[in-house]
Amino acid sequence: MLKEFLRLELKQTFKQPMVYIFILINFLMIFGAATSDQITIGGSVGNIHKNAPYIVLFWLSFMSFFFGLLSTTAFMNNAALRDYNYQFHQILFSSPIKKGGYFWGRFLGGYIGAMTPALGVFLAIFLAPYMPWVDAERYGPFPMNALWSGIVVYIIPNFFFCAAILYGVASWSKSTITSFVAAVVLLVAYGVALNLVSDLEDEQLGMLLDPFAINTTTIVSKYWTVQEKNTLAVGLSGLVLVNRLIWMSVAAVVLLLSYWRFSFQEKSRAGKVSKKGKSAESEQVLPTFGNVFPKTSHRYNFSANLRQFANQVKVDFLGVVRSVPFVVIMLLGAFNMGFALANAEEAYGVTQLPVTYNIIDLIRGTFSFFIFAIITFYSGTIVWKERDAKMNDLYDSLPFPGWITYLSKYFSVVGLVAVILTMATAAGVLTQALKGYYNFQLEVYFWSFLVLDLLSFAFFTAAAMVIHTLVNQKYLGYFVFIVFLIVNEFIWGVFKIDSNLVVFGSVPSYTYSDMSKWGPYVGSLTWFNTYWALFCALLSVLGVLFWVRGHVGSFKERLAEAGHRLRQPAMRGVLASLLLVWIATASFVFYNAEVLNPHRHSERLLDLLAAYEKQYKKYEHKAQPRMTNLKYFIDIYPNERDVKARAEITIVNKSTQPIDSVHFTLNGSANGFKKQVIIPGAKLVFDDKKLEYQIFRLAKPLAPGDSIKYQIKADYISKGFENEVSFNEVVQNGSFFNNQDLLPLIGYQPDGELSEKKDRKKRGLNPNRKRVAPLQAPCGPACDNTYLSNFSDWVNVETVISTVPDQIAVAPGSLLKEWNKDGRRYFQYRLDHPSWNFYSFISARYEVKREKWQGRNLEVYYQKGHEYNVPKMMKSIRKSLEYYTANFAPYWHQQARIIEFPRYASFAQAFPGTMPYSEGIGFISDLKDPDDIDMVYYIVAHEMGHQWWAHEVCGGNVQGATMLSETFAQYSALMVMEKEYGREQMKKFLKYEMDRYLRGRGTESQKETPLMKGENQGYIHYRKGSVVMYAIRDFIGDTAVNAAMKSFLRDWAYKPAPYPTTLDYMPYLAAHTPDSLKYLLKDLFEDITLYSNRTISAKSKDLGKGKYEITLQVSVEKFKSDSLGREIQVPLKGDYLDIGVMGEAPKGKKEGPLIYRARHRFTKKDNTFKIVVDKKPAKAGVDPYLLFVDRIPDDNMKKVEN
Amino acid sequence: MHLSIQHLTKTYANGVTALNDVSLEIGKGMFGFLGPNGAGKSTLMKIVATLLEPTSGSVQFGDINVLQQPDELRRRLGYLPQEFGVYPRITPPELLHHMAILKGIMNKNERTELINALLERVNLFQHRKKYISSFSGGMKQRIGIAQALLGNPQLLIVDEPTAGLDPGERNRFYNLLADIGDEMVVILSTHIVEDVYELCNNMAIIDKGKLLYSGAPKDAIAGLSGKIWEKAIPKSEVANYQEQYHVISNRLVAGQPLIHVLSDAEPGAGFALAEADLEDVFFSAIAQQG
Repeated sequence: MLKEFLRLELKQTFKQPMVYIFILINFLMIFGAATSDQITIGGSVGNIHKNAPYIVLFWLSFMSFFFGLLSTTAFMNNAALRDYNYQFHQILFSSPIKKGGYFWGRFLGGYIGAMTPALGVFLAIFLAPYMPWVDAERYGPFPMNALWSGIVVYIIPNFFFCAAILYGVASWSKSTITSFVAAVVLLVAYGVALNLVSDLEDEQLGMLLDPFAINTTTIVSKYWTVQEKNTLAVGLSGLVLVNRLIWMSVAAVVLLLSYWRFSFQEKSRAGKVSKKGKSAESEQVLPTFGNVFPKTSHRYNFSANLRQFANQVKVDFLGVVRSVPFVVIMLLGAFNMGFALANAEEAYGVTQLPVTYNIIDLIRGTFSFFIFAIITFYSGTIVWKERDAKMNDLYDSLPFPGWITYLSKYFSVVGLVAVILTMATAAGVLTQALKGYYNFQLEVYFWSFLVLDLLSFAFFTAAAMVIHTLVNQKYLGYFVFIVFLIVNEFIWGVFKIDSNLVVFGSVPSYTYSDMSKWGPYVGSLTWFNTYWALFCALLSVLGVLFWVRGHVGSFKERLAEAGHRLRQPAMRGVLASLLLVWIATASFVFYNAEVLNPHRHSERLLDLLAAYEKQYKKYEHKAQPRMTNLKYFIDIYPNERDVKARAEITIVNKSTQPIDSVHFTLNGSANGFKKQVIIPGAKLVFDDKKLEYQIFRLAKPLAPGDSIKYQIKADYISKGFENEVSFNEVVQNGSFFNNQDLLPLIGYQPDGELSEKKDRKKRGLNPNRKRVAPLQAPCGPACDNTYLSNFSDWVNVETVISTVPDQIAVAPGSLLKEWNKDGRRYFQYRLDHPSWNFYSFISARYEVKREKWQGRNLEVYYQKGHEYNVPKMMKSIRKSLEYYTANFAPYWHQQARIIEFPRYASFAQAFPGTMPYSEGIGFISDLKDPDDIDMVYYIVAHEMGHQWWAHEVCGGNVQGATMLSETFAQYSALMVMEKEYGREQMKKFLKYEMDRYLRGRGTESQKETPLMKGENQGYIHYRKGSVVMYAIRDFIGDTAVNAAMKSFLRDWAYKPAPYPTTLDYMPYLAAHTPDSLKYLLKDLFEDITLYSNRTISAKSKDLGKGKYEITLQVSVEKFKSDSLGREIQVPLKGDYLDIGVMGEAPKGKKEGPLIYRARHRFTKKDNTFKIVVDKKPAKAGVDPYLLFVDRIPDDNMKKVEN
Repeated sequence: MHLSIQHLTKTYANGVTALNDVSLEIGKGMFGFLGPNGAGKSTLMKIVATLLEPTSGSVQFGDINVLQQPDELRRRLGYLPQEFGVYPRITPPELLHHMAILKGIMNKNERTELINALLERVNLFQHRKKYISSFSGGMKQRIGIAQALLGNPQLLIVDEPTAGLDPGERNRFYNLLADIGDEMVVILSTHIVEDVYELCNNMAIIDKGKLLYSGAPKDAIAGLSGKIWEKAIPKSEVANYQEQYHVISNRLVAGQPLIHVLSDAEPGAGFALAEADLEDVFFSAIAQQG
């Protein structure tokens, strides 16, 4: 019996086109990802093969979840309900079939059918490397292990899980809608699990809670190196196995329960209702006949039509709002959103204040998906509403004009979205209030949600409506719409088209900032939205023309009908005038966005960069004069978004030979500055307008040591509006640009060279570009430049800068003078000490907090309303100055200022004496929780650290240069932070740093380098840098580290070229390191060293009198890794590691204090210790402070057994 | 008011000819369409109700060219389709108000008065707060007639209105129709002969898309008087008789087949002259068509 039903089910399944469509979609999706660079699913970067087991597993996990849900929803629903939907069940169930055979046969058939589309993935993976257009180098061997793993870890269990639940729900509810809802519930459950694991502390729980095991495996492989990603696949073991067993059991229980409940009897509910109807019937009394109904008057004019339209909207809208699925989807969405809102964090476990734009971003992140689901689902439902209810004959014969139906249906879906967005606003405000934040900024909600988002959703609704109307087949309509969404998302990239005039429904991206509001985006947003609104109006006319009324057959008949409708003068009038307005708008937008402000697709930009490299790299080492003095005259016009600047620049020939011509890279197209170089007496002998490279021949060659003065002009004049706002560094309030934006740069600039292998190869460049020159001694010409600039050293800068009267403009150095002239406000600044040619110009309406420290001005410039953390910033500046001047070197500037800039970028940056700091970080950090890491304090201390590390000494432009600036700034900040917050906070901080380092390794695009040879890799110079510096400091003490730092600065600060390298630095550190610890310098700085430290067992014996003896077994292994993460175990040669014991955790804390810590030498893997402590031990183990890099830090300490 | 159907033909995309050159003149009062399932009645009615475009032919109602001015007809139309549903989660007054607005009744007081009267009339006033989706078949059918009567239609089309109703409900339904039928053109389609006999002063018989008869039921019966013969025969003989005689119907009476034969003279031994009824008209028309 079972076999018979299984056979039947499979036969029916494979007869459906759905199976083949699903296989095809899967194939295309993965094939696209595996063979092109435009489509990325899973992030194969750099050296990770496009078909690496890690990537393939990611695909399969994604497929098993996303498609698992989609395809099981479709197939299981079919399996469970087909007989009901075709009313066949009464016949079938009255025949002598067995429940078991029927139930399980159908289930198995549906389950197998649902899994079949996975074949598409396999096929794509298999075929991808053989395609003629792909680069064979980027593929590894066929990832058989990942395939098997994917099948047993994801596909079989995840499909089973979905299938069991959805089959259960479908056979219980006998309702398609209910099982759709169940699918959405599963989707959200997954979202919640995702949120749970995002917090580091709950990782293990999250690994078990994820019903699809995607995070479980992500966590297992989170520290995988490139090498491991290319070879290993997560298998069915450990927590993955436990997770799978748990969720398979859950699924089995659900399935058994539904089997137990399943019966062939008709579901009783429908019967009950009709009985009730009958009984109501029998109560009635036959009335006497009165012949005449009240007379009514009829109106068919336009105002009547409007009323009809409104009423249809009301009916459709209420129909949805009252329906169970809608309520359920809304509740789920709200739940999901609430969860995200409650758990939002910034970095290092720190939360931000619930300022309105953050809340809006969070809500968008969790809610857009639901809104798209609602648009997709309900546009189909509402288009088909009358026909699904079999009411279409009644409805279509009513005397109202056709457009009413179409438009009312459109607006009822849009109305739904509006209601959801209004609710989202309410939820946002409520969240803010609950978190004690009362600056609601309702206008920001209104414009973001109810105007911009609503418009964008309305565009896609218009597309959905017209697709459903034209396709005129409900499920095919859904399919076409989803395909439309996917194609619209991906296809344009393939053709290198990024015009918002072409990509359906696209408008310029924008960022709201408290400083400049919607400032630079208003024009573009208004016009592109108008353009698409009109386009959608045209689509809707098409929809009205083709809307099905009555019964129509072939498309030809529909076409004839549409033509018939078009003959109505009103319809023609509307169409013609819409078309006219749309064309006019399109022309205007085209003129502004393409003619006035031509833009290049990012790929074309890469082409230009490649051409620049090909043509001018030959000049890279040509001797050029270097800037020494710069005097700027800058006028900022914030309201017009214009900047007019000029500068007088002195250049000196610091080389040993005469220089006859000066080369300039104007580099203006990147940001829209129009630049001009004026050298008295010099002749422009070469002018490449496209690549913006100019060569001036000097009137007479510049002899070594000689200097000349020249002028530059640089204007940024904004015109009309753009396709995407390209330069948001000049805005209405909060202009922030740096000198490189407006200077024509001298000589060839290697910074813009393409770095991605694939980009280089495609354009005929050597794919293996060296990021920087190798570290060597002696350094050679590479050390003639720092990594900051190749055309200047220490320079003097003076600036006269003007802006509108209500703004303050800031330039580098001390303010010499301030005056008003011709309705503008002028400032004159001058650098107190020669500095790098690297600084910024800023103008905004600021509040300023000022303090004095040893005669210097400490200033924080901030946006009114963002005063929360200003005192903290001030304190960090002060404490940093105290620590660094005491331990490193004097501070040479007369000021230290922090200046807020709009949140278009989220960073803080150190310029000489001036530190611009993004509105989006720090200013709105929520530092109320004393257990959280003080991000604001840390970042300020780091930037202050740069005043020494980078601005007093900066590495030559070779490997490891950033260690001397970033790593040391990181160390400096750690010291300042530790002084304020204590050692335990540092442990927490370092755990995050370690985590980010280990993750960073796995996404390395070229090769991992040792700290000393870093190639500007953030995960190395910041993250590993923190860990390493903290470890060395723990071993030799901060006095020794600081002494090394101090003497290094003494010898190198503000010195001319050649600039130092890490090889120059290491002797200073070595001088303060005892011989017994010298191996650490090699391990930590010169090599990539990892430990695998683990506590095997920890047992404690109560010795009485409050003393405890702990027997501790620890295992210690050490590895050296190569640049791709291949590890080789190396012997322990008396390595020092700490053994530690933690006491019991006090109330409210997760961990107790360290009650014992001792350093031991290790020479072998397995070690046993006996320790006596005089407090009750809770945990014990090796390397309690996580001083050394360890891929599994959690097993260092173990709970002590009694 | 007068409905004139001229040479109406409808061929579907799959090649099926549902109507074949049908012409009819229908005046005020109840007009019955009689035909077996699938005869083309519903197709005809959908064309008249502006829901379907005919392949050829014309429909004229008064001075309205139905095919050219569908909205004009819709303003005068009440239509109860053979099978219909309503929106889920909607109560009778909500539905009727909505449809009344779509029919152009814009005055709220008038509308309320009319809808209350209609609900009273179809005996649903006391159920007005329930969702229609919870109604029984008969109650739903009454909602159907109520909506068809919204706005005093001049043309009322009711397609197989009594299918699925129990005899009591059916009677009540016909009483209602009979009450209002004098003032407008009412077209009723059915496959039940008695329905037409009881209600209609004019009728048409239609089968396989062809018009077989049109006229008054009485005239049709009169035309057959003296030509219908009946005989009770054993079951085994049915086939024989069908070969030998023009058997127009064959039904069981107390378990034994009773055949009716159309013949101008006595067809043979054992046959008795039967009183012709509308059913004989129906069956003879269909039988003749072949």
